[in-house]
Amino acid sequence: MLNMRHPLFRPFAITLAMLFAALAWQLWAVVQGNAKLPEDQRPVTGTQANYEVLLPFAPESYHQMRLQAIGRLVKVEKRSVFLKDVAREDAIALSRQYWVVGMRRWTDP
Amino acid sequence: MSMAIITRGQARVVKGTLGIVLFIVAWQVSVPLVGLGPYFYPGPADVLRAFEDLLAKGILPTYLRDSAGRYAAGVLIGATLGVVAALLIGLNHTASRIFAPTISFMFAIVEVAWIPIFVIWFGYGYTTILIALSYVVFFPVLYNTLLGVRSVPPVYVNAARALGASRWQLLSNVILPCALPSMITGFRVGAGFAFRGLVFAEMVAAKTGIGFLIFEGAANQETARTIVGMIIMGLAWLFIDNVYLKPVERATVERWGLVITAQARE
Repeated sequence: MLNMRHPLFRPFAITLAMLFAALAWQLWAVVQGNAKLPEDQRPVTGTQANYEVLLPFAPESYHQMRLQAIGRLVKVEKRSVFLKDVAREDAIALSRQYWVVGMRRWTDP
Repeated sequence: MSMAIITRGQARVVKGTLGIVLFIVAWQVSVPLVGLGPYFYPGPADVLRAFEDLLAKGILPTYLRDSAGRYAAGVLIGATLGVVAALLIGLNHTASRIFAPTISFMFAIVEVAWIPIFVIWFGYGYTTILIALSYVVFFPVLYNTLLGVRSVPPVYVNAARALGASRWQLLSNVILPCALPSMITGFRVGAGFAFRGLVFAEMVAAKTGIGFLIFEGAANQETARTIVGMIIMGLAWLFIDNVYLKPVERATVERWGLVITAQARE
């Protein structure tokens, strides 16, 4: 049985609470990601796709760096960032970011 | 008629909160009096806006996560090496004579002086920060553990030997328990130093992290972001110290009988 008066009970309980919160956050991110990027919008495993990534703000250098790490950043138009050659796993991971409001396929004209 | 009873602990929290509120109010009131723009003298409202902005843009959680990961890894590696080195030096006279002068020499060279060299050797990024943090934590843990190891009363060691204890039993049942409170104190001091080291290391060698946020905010004339970074550093340290370090110190010190708790006294 847990001894709630033990000095290490509080650190243990807080760590456990943080782990649960992180898990809940990840679950929420997965659900949100699936809504932002449904299966038919994702590239087949092993292939790549181009995406217009919609943000609720003008991207800063931080976002451009993050996006450059997963694809070729072609251009930025207001709150949209246009990426080329994004792998399936990277597209899914990006869709789970809460600061991404939407993603849609984009064809280079 | 009922009377509200406030415990001493609650009264301390109320007084502490009141102090912080008064400070924030005085800061906000001083903004129009000082009459400088937010670049020179941002008020609490500017800082709050910057905080919301960093949160909404996903910058703050990522920076905080990166800093926390680097900090945890650096402290863990530095503390482990510090304990191992202290046991080696403390229990072996030859090792002490060989390594003690070099370690004393290294102790005088602060991590700030090493970081440019680490950047040349390991480049910008994780490795450099990890080594710098481990270096910072290593010395307080080493010296405190050494103090603990050398403070073990010889009568304990002799008694254990007389009872037929092996070298391992002597270490695990006598020396380590006796040295543990000093070790924990060294760990706590080292963890505090590592926090300061983290800010500097991230300013120089990283493109993410709270230290980088502080540096980048000042460089981009977004002073409110710099202050957000400073406040986050302070709060993070309060959290680590109160939630982890103090309870661990209390548990070990009380466990080994150096402090008599109120409960034990009764």
